[in-house]
Amino acid sequence: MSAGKHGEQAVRPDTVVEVRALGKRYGIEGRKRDASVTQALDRVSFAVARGEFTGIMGPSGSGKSTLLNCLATIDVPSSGSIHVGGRDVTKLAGKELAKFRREDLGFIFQDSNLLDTLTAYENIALALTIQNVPAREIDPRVQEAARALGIVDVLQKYPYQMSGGQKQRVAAARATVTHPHLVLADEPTGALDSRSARQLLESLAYLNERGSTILMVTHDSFSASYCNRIIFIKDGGLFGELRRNGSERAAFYRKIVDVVSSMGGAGEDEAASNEVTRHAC
Amino acid sequence: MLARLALGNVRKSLADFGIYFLTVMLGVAVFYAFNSMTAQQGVLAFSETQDKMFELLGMVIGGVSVFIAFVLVFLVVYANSFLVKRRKREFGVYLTLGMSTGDVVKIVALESLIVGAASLAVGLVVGIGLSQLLLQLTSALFQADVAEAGGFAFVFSADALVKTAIVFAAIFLVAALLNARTVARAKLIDLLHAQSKNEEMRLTSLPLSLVLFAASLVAIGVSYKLLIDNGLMEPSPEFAAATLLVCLGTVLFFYALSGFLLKLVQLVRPLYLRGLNMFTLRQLNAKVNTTFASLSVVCLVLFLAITSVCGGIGIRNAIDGSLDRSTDYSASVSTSFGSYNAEAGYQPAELGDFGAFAERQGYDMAAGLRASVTTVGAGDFDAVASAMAQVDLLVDPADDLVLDDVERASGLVLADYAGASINSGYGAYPVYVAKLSQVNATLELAGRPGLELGAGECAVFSDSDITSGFYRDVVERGTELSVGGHDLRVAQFRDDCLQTTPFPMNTGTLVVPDEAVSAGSMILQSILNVQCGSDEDEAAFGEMMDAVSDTDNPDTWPVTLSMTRADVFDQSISLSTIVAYLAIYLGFVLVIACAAILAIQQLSDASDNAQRYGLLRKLGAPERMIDGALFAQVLVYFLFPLLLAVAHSACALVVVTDVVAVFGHLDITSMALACAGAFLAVYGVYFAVTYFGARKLARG
Repeated sequence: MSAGKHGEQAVRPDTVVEVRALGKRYGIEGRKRDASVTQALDRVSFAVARGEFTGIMGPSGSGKSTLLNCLATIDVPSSGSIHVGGRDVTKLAGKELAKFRREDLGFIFQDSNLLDTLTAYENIALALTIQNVPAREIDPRVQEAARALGIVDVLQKYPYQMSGGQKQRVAAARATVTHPHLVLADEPTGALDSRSARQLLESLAYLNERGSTILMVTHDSFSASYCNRIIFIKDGGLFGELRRNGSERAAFYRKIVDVVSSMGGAGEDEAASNEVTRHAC
Repeated sequence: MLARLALGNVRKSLADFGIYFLTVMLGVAVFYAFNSMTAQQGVLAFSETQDKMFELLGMVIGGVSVFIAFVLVFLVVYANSFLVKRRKREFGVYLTLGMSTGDVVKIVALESLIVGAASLAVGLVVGIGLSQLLLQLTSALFQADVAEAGGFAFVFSADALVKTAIVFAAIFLVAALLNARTVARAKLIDLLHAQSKNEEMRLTSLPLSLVLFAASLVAIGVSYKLLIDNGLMEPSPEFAAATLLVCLGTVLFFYALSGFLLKLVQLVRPLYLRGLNMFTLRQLNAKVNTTFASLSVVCLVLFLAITSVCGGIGIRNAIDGSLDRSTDYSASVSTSFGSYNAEAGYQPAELGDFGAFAERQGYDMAAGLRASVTTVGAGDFDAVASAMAQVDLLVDPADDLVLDDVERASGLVLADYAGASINSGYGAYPVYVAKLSQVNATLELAGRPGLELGAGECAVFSDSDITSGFYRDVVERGTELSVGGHDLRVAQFRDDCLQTTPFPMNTGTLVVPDEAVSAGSMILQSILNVQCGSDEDEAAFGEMMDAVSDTDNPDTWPVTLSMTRADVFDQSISLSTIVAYLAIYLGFVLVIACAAILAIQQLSDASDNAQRYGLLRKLGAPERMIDGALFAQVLVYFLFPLLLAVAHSACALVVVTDVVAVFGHLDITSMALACAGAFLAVYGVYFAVTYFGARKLARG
């Protein structure tokens, strides 16, 4: 999917996220050439369609965290726009912003970030009570989310009584129980052992099959291989994109590893494989 | 360089220093204001007795201030340690950057100095303002006018200022040393990782909370009952048990409170699953292990503060209130001729020659005193005493009339009215008899309505709060008593005081028609009430009576006690005012201490939990919802100790009322309410500062 460079282009109905010419500078505004200004993101554009499971990969310092923070409305971009569900979220503030976060976004953090004073059930329910969902609707929805993630038997446990993998799946349940437009996952497998990581990724893939749109930031090629599509970022700009197109996960994984090694390598002229669509940066 | 860093730090974290500043400032203000009270002597027109009393007050306040200073040391150190704890990471960074431990200690000390000096200065200004208020209060309480023209004077005590400055300088020094020790001892790795250390989670079982909460209410209820039933007139095992139970109940209450609230709200699903209620309740419950002890202490200290202030002021007001009734006469002179009780009967007093003189004078006090004054050459009796009336309190040994008889005749029990404040052997006390003609004469002298009795009737006079309710019902029931062979119906009750006295203590005098008094009646006590034309005459009369009382000349009247109106005012008001002042001083400092402890605990909680609030924000909880959750938590911590303390105090005051009834009717009115208001205001300010501070900390 090609990115729209022109602001007037209409958002397509099946597009959930539309990022246009996103730029983020750190340092003093207006002194572009100054050495003290860091260009973390430079005119990044892409779109995510409803029901996609998209991965964002890049080496550290590539700007992928900045991108995620901008998408999560935790950080504000210097230029460009981000439309989620048809609304420009960079223009939101105050109550609107909070409303957007609780209704349109779901978060999964690297360190689950569950409230340790609440049970798993309550952690999941919290996302609904914040939205003031009527109490009688809460139980069926929590149970449904728990079933989908295979955590029904830990619902009454506290975070300290759960394994890392269980905690991340509870966090995933919390992120999806509100049926948000977009689930953002920030290195969700970062703190997990390989078995728990695989379980979580399978759960995310299952949630995706059931209709959740997921955007996952990761530096791990294995995790990325569960996505339908990978967007590569390097030095603040798009480096390229890789689509799974129904191929085996193992084959997709090898392609990702190729791209990652080419990114980590010296220069761009060392060329990635054909499947990588190059974007002008 | 270090100074600039320190100053910058203070400016940067004004919110953190807020509670510290407020506490030290209020501490300084109260400390100065009360220690400067002796300076009021220079400004107010005191009588000699009041002057002495005020010197005593100054000494007592000086002593209490030592205790107060310890409380303040504790508070300042506690507040300081919160600040240092919050900034461990910052100190760690200083050390990593190559600053020496000594330099960091110097920065901390400088910061303390800057904030300390500022709060000391502001506190002194507030204290000087406060001492003007106290001056007006003293002027009203002692009924002493400000000596200078216009009724306004500025009171300032350099001594108190220096004392306050020295005490607080010492307190700051102790706090700075303790801080320095914390910083110097800390390992760099701990300083840098101070924030990532997690508190261990210990969850209490919820069903257990319910049981414990019920147990706490039972313990508190039982202790209330024990206290109300047994009173605190004398130390008893019941009183000890009540004290123990109320402490135990309070600790249990706070241990189980959060679990109880949690369980209760969980039962109402729609309430529990609404907004951040679940989070708030869990948050309270998670902290129970670290907070229940301090909440219990705060509650009990608040209880102490409320009770002492209300009790102290109540005693004062009780005395003040009864003074209106008990100072009808310029002076009262009394002579005891004997005593009486049920076992021993009538016992004449050993008055010797003086008794013989009284007999020669026909027991006429006016005549006897007039002659005595002339004899000792103390002045002109009739020139100062313009009008007078005598009342004899009689007892007829043949009747043997005691309180037991009144109880038997009426079917009422005095103990039911008097509660725990009456001596157990009261039944053997005599009931005095007085002649209607004498009583009417003295009532007329006081300008009070006279007494009319029908045939076969008598009246009962009692000015003590302990007995008045009882006698009212005795009259209500139409009780008949046998006096001097006549059966008389007790038809009227009057609470008029038949003399000028600091403490109305007439527990029952029957006023009967003169002809009903039998010839065998003996005088137990004679009272001469005198009205003087002016305050100077009153003072002169007092001196005359003192002269008669002091002389060895056998040809004089035996004066047992002489009281002028001014004596009564000075004695009772001065003493009770000291009690009231001490209660206010202690109460104020204790309330500040409680509020500061709660505030600091809540603030450090909020800063520990900043990450959790950040998560709620990421989940899209609106700011108002998060503020609401914080408000609810701070409110629970401030409100529940206060509520329980008020409940304890209400119970205690019911009992204290019985004790105070000895002095008069306990009247916890405007002044106590004003004090409670001032305390609540201070508590409220702490609450507000805590809430806004916590909000700022929770916002990261």
